[in-house]
This record gives sequence, C-alpha cells and structure tokens, in this order.
Amino acid sequence: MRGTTVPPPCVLEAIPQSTPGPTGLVAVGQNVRRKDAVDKVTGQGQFVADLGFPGALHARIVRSPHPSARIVRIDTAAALRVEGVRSVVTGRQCQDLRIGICIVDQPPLAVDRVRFVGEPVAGVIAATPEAALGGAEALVVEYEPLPAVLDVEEAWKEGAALVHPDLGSYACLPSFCPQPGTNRFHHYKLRKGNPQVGFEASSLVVEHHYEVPHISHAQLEPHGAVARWGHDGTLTVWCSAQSPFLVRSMLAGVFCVPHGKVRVVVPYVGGGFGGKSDVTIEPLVAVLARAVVGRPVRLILTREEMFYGSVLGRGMKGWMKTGVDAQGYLQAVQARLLFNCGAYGEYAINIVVGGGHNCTGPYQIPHIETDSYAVYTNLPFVGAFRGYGHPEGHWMTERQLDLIARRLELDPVELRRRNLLGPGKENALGQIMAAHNGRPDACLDRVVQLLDWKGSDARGGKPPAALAQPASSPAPRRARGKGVAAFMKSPVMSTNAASSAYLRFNDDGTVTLTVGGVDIGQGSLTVLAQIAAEALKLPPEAVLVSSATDTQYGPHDWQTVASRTTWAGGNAVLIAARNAIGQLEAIAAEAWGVPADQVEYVAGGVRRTGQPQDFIPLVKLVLGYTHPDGHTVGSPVMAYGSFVPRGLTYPDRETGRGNCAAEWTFGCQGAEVEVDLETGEIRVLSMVTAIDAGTIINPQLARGQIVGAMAQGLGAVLSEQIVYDTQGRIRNPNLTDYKLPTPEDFQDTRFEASFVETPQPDGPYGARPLAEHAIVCVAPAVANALYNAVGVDAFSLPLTHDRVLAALKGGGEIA
Amino acid sequence: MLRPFAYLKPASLKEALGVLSSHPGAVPLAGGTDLLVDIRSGKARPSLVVDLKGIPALAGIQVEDQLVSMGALVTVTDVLDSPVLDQRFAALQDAARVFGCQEICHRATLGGNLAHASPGSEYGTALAVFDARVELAGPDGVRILPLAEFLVEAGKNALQAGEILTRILIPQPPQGSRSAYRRGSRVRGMDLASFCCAVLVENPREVDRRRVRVAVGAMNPVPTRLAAVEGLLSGQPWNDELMARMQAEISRGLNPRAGSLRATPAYKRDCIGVLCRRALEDLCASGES
Repeated sequence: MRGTTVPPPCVLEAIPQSTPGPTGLVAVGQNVRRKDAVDKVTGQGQFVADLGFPGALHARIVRSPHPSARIVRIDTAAALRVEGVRSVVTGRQCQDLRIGICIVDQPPLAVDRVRFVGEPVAGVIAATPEAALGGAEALVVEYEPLPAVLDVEEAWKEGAALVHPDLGSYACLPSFCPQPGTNRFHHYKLRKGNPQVGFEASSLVVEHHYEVPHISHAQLEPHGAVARWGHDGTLTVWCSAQSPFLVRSMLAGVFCVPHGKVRVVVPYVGGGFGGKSDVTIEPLVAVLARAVVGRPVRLILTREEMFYGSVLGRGMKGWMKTGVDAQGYLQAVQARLLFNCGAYGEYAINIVVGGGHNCTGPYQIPHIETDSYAVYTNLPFVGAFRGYGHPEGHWMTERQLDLIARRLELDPVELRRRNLLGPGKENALGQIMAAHNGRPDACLDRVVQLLDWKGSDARGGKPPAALAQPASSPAPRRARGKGVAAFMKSPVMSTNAASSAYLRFNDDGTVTLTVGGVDIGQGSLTVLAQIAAEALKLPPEAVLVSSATDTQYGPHDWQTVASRTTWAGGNAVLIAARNAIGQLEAIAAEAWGVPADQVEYVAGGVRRTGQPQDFIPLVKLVLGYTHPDGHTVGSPVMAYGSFVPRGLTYPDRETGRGNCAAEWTFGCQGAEVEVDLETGEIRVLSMVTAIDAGTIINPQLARGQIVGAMAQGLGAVLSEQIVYDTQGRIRNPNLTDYKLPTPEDFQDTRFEASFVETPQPDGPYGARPLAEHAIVCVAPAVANALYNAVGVDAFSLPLTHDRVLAALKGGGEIA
Repeated sequence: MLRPFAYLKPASLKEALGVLSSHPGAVPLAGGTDLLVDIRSGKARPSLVVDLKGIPALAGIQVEDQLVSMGALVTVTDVLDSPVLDQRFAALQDAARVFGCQEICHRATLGGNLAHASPGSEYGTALAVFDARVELAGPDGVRILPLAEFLVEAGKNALQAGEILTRILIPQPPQGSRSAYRRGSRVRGMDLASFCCAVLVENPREVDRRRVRVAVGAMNPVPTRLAAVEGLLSGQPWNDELMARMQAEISRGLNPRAGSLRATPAYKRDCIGVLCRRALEDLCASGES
C-alpha cells in the first residue's frame, strides 16, 4: 500500500451514540438498515446455486409417475451408457436407510414401492446437467400400479388402502401414537372439561365442515444441496436450509457417522416459510454423493420439482361444533381435524399437534374436545408452512364465531371481546394466562380503529337478493364489507429447543457474532446485531453477524422455525454480551488493581465507579490490557451464550394438555373487501393486523414481516391451491398456473401493522415472536368480510372469482 | 435446463428459409418466450433452432395509406411504445399492458404470439377485430392469409414446413374508430387470459353509422369474431336493455373447453358478456361515444 491516505477513524469514534428513547433503549427500537441489504440488492449475496465446486458432478432425479405402485424392475444399463453419466443410484443401494426422528418412515430413494407421484426412484450422477438429464431419460423403471388413496377423509377411514402397511414396525418418539393397520400415523387429543355439559349449557350450537387445500411455499430460491463425502469418512453438505444443526443430526443418524464428521454449511437462503425446515433434499443428495466419494454432487431443484420434490403446505378437512350461551359466552367446542399429510409423516406430525393445541383460538372455553389426525395419503408430503397448523384451526374457529354472532344478532367484535383470553384466564392447554402474555383485547381495539369498524358494520351480511336495487336505478356492480378475526399462536417446538451465540471482539472494539440460526430473509442478522449493540452500548453498525451458518464453526441452534430466532437467539446473544461485559470489567479491574465490583462497563469502555476520569476504552481492553511498561493483563475477549426455554413438558397423551407452549403471541386482523358482483372478483381494500409482540426490536423489519405474512396469506385466500388430477398428479406444478398474488393485486390495498408492546419477561428486551403470526387469520378475516359484503359464506379456500360468482348466483355458500 | 440443440442466426429471410427447408428438425425462434419453455419441459425437442432476430425484413411497424404493416418480430414493448399507433389501435396497447412482466414484453413478439396459436392468444384476439391478415414466406414464395385462416385450431397454425410468418397486415381502420381489449384473469399481474375480448367501434359518435366488431379469446379453440353480436350492437343506441341482450346472447355458439385450470366453462360464459360490455362502456366513458 502506498500513499498518504489517513486510515479511516475507528468505527466507534466515527458513529455518534444515539440518545436513548423513552424506553431507555438505544439500539433496540431503531430502524437499523438490513445488514444484508447491499449484498442482496447488488446481487453479491451468495446462495447455494452460486457456489462453485471444482470437479462437481450433477444429479438428476428420476421420479415416480404413479401415486402408488410396486417397483418391478429398474434397468440402469441404458442410462449408464449415456456419455458423461458416472453413476446411477437406486433404492437398492440404500435400502436400510430411513429418514425421520419423530417417525422414521421415509427412504431417501424408494425401495420396492412408490407412494406418491414425484417420489425419487433413482438419481443419475453425471459430469454435466445435460448428461444427467440424458441418463435420467434413458433409465428404465417398470411399475405395477397399486390402489391409491388421495382424499384425506377416505384415507382416514378404516379399510382404506394403506399407504404404509408396515406402519406398526416404524420407530417413533414416545409422544406419538401411530395406529397400525390404518393411515393414521398420529392422533393428538385435547380434552378439557366435559363437552356434553358445555353443550347442555349452550343456547346455541353451530357446527360446520371446513377445508383448506394444499398450497406451495413457492420460495424465490429453489431448494439446493451440494454434498461431498471425503475419503476419510467426512460428509460436507452445502444447502439451502432453515435448520443446519438438524440437518447435521439427521444425516449423522441416517449414515451412522459421528456428528463431528458431518459439516453443514448454509449460505444466504432465499426464503423458507417452513419449506426448508427439518431436512428436505439433503439426505437424498448425500446418498447420491456416496456413490462418488471425493466428488461434490450438486442438485438444484427446478421450479417444477419444488412442488413435488420438497414439501407442500397445509391441506386439512375439518369439522367444528361450537356451543355458546345466550349472553354470547363460549361454552364448548368439539373439533376434528384431518390433516392430509401426504405419503411421509416426519414433516407434518408436529403440525398436527400445533393445530390441535390452538384450533379453538384466543378464547376462554371451559369444555373442549379436539381430535387432530395425521393422515397418510398418496400425495406429495406436507411440511411446515408459516403458521404451522394455526391457520387451519383458526379458519374454522373464526368463521364459527361470525356464524354465531349472526345468529345471536351480536356485533362480531363484541362476541370476541366477551370471550378473549386475558390475565387469569385458562387457555385450551390448561395454562393460566398472565398479564405479560399480552393484550388480545387491545389488539381487537386497534383493529376496530384501523378498520373504522362501527357497530352497524356488524349488521352486514346482506344476502345477495337484498343487493337488488329498485328497478329504476341500475343494478349495483360492487359491494363492500368488513371482517375481523382474532388469533393466538404458540410455537410447537422440542422442549429443549436451544439457541446459542459466540461473541468476539475485534481489535478495534467492534464485534463479530456467530449464531446457529439462519437469516432466511426475516432479518435476524440485523435484529441480533441490535440486541448485542444494546447490551454492549455499541452502535448497531459496530456489530456484525456472520451471514453463513456453518455447523463446524457456529454454535448449536435447534432450528430457525417457530418464529423463535429473535426470542431464543436474541436471548443467547444477550447472555453472550453480558458474559463479554463481565470479561471486560474483570480485565479493567485487574488493570487498576481493584475488585471487579468497583468498575462498570459504560458506552465505549470501562470506568471506575465514582471516578469518571479513570476510563479505559474498549480498544485497550478487547485483547487484554497492556500496561505502559508492556506487561499485559487479561486476554482476548471471547464470550458465548446459550438458551433453552425452561419448564416445557410433553403434552399428556390422553388429555393433550400440559406446559407445552413457551410463549403466546396474540393478535387481531381485519379486512375490508370489495366484491365485483358480476365477476366474483374480491379486491382487498384494507388488510390490517394488530399484534402484541412485546418490545419491537426493529419496527421496519417487524412491519415487513407482518405485511409480508398478510400478502402471503392473501395469496392462499384468493388464488393459490395445488390442483391434482384423479391420478394424484399435480396439474399446476409451475408459476403459470399456481397463482401467486402479484404486486398489481395489491397496488390499491392498504396494509397496516400496529404493535401493542407488552414486554415478554423472558424475551430479549421484552421481545416476543411475530414472524408467522400475521398469516394466521387472513383467511377468516377476508371470508367474514365477504359475507359482510354480499352474504356469501365461505367454508373452503381459495375464494377464486369463479367460486364466489357461483355462490352469488345461487346457494350463497362456498362449501 | 435446456436440452442441447444447434443454433443459427441467419441475416436474411432467404438464408433462413433455406436453412428451415433443409433441416427437418429445425424450428424458428422469435422472442422465445414460448419456445424456450417448451424446450425446457421437453415438449419441443428441436435439433436446430433458427433465430429470426437477425432478419431486418421481419422488424418494424410501417404505416402506409391503406395498411399498417407490422413485422413478425415487433415486440409487445414496441407496440406499447410505438408513436405511429394512434387511438384506433388502443386494443393492441391494452393487450400489451397485461401481456406479462417487463422482461417478457421486451422479448415476446406479435408473430410468435400468433404462431403459438393459443386459444386465449392476446394478439390473436386483439388483431381479429382489425381484420388483420398475415404474410407467410416459404420456399415457393409469399402468400397472404386472413388471420382466421392462419389460426387453425388450439396450438396449430397454417404454416407449412419451411414457412415463416413474416408480417402482419392491418387495414387502416376508419378515422375516429376506437378499440379496446379486456381480459379475465386469476390475478391482476402476470397471468394468462382466462378469457378475453376485443372490440372495435367505427364511427362511435354516430349511432346510425356505428359499426361494432367483437372478438373473443379462450372461448373456442381459436379466437373468434362474433358476427351476431356485431350485428346486434351495430347501428343501435347502446342502453342497458341492448347490453343485457348482448350479454344473454354472446356465449351462444361458444364452446369453452372443460378442465381448464384458468376458469370453468360456466364462469367464462357468465363473464364474457360482462367483459365485452365493460370494454364498450369504457370506450363511451372516455368521451368518444
């Protein structure tokens, strides 16, 4: 380096300290710019498909064209003759391997039998993607079709064709109860009080059937993985995943390799929404790579493959019966939820539990009996999708409440207000709510305000006939309506779901954090930096969070799911920061030769208590303190923090109750819609969410999460659904006919996010989860608004133009 | 992923015709927004792709006394940006505005859109009300076909082996004419038309001399002009009663196929008249009727 350029001043001097806000917090509560903004906007950010691997081979998957069939014969000879093809791997080469932790039911490649259209039957490994495709097309597979079952109600019944005849022999965790000889691989029961008593005390009982179709996460970045086995028995996998440590654990288990020999690296992830949690394609790619030890094997799913080659979301048929007394107090709920989980169970089994926990909504109900079934069908399998069982249950509950309000001639807002949970009230699981659990009532009030909801709105629900005008005036072409719905969500997680963080000071007093959680777009790189900055009294710019997660260097984290990274990861960061402060204070105390309790950490360094002139700046402490004569006390500051929620237990097998939710987030949502009476098109004029998410760490990112969840939810309400043909094939595995909403659909929509901030005592600076929540009640809010506008009752989704128009023209129901 | 194929980009029509005639597995490439999708999915497996974009004769919009001649390679963006297409051609620009994302509009060509012969083709429908004809060049010379004869059935055009669609010929609509294109779609942004219609009104201000042309797409295997509806609407004062009659009669003779992922036949029948009426109303509302 030449020249006389003055080195830039230390970041700590260059960035002025902000003054604390009314809460006393400085970095927390600021709209700190996303740490990954420049990388992503300029295209510099590296995703799995961007990574280069010298000598990499390319994989192509041959998939089943049948929903259920016996594999009679696989002839690999022609495929192996294709120029460039190196190897063909079939189930024969991995017939003893099974994927799963909760229920171990899935081979990485089909063995003897296929269970859904799209199931991997073989993998072709070749020098180029083109050769791999050529090999895949040359592979000969002979099938003998078997009876298939696609409908979840059919599959649930006794005597249905069995997707897994060997269900009874599968290993599973003790908290699950598969029913051998059926397609039911788990039955979650929630029992509270005595519903008979509750219904007898009710003056009105409403019951209905509901349905939610399968949908796709449609992440911007396709699933991808590169796997390489070392000649020393190590396995390295680079992948697009939400759960690197779970991927490692699963791979180590599947291949019987010590965990330390498996390394999972996750660079930037282009969207997860649950569809990259647990494992996805990693075991498959690792099985293929085992055939070419020493060479990386790369598989990036095509857009089409993402639909049947990863996981789908939702898919539920349900029934709910609700009893209420004459004053509008809920007395009893009975519900049955049949989750259409597809051909394998590992990824959906806990959704079934979460859906069962909270399907009765944010209400105090004395008598509850819900039965939530995990059901196999011969369809692509289902995994986590933002909301995790809660949208399915709330779809029923929040429609039921509007049906009840109508029959009681009560304002739907008032009906909800009377029944909402709050301090001292008992939720479905039997947990008593405390004041710090949040204020659902305040959220409801906010939505009333945001929607400009008047009591008179409640009288809506004009039946279509009432819309007809006097003959002299032209027929109206549009009608508007408003709807509300309230939610609660608690995470479904393992009782020891941990997060941890390493924190080290750099020479200049800035901080580098390494965490086990993944920024999948939600903004954890930024939020965790703000939490560390707050604790360390540093500007957020002085804290960097490593953007790649690497199980070899990073600390353990259970999974980036359940909206838990700000909460649990933030706690780990906070603990690490406090640990670092202790180290810095100890170094300063030793430098001054005073007890540690006579020094205190302040912004920029450590000072002696009561003697402000005695101050040592951070840069002189972070590597240990060197006295003027050169001798050094202390050593480089390296801190860690780790966190596990305390007191969680498994639900009781018979009652489903227990302390199985670490926290709750309450909220309320509202929609105003305009319905085109001639075409059935629903325009969403307003979509609002009020949520009690505790302290908001970064308002802009929080708003991004809420608005993003509402927009994603509206897609599933208005246009998205997986369409199957009678053979279990997806008819729309592409973005041409799987209709995601577009910016044009929302250009006139007013999105509002409003935060009630009741601090969470065990959250970092009082923060509570918020990422998934604003999707939970989008569907019932819109459907309630639809009824309010035109008198059409929707019981299934999506509310496409043709279904709405058909209901307008007759029947008045979307069944 | 694209399967391997050979690629040629001839600089003249003659060269392109020569190549196409001598290679049975060759396919012409215009914007590629349909062809590349088909190659990727394996539906099309050409051995040779002949890129037409190097041929000057296939480009540009030329306005002559009696005729507007549009090169087959005119893109959707070109239509939107063209300074020579006045109000009379608004339907072509309406179609451009809902055609797709910017990237697709920059690539997709009118010729490609017509040759793909989709039942809901934006330009198959919009150009139908202009009485457009197409110019086809082949080894044996040039022939001109009415659009209705070019679009044979769903996914099938009248091009013979070795022929190229070179230009689209549009007779100048009478001065003062107005046109519009409307579609029904599942979402408002990127989508294919579930059904669509185009209208052109000659002499919109004079009821007696008013002539209306109507075409619909995705209601039949090919975009269809509706002579009976045109007769009903021409030379008549437009009022609620007439529009109600039009809406009641428009789908007579139309046979939308069942099983479409985009809309049910019943829904299309219910809504095509609404779409058509709204297109006409919008023309009135813009002050010209």
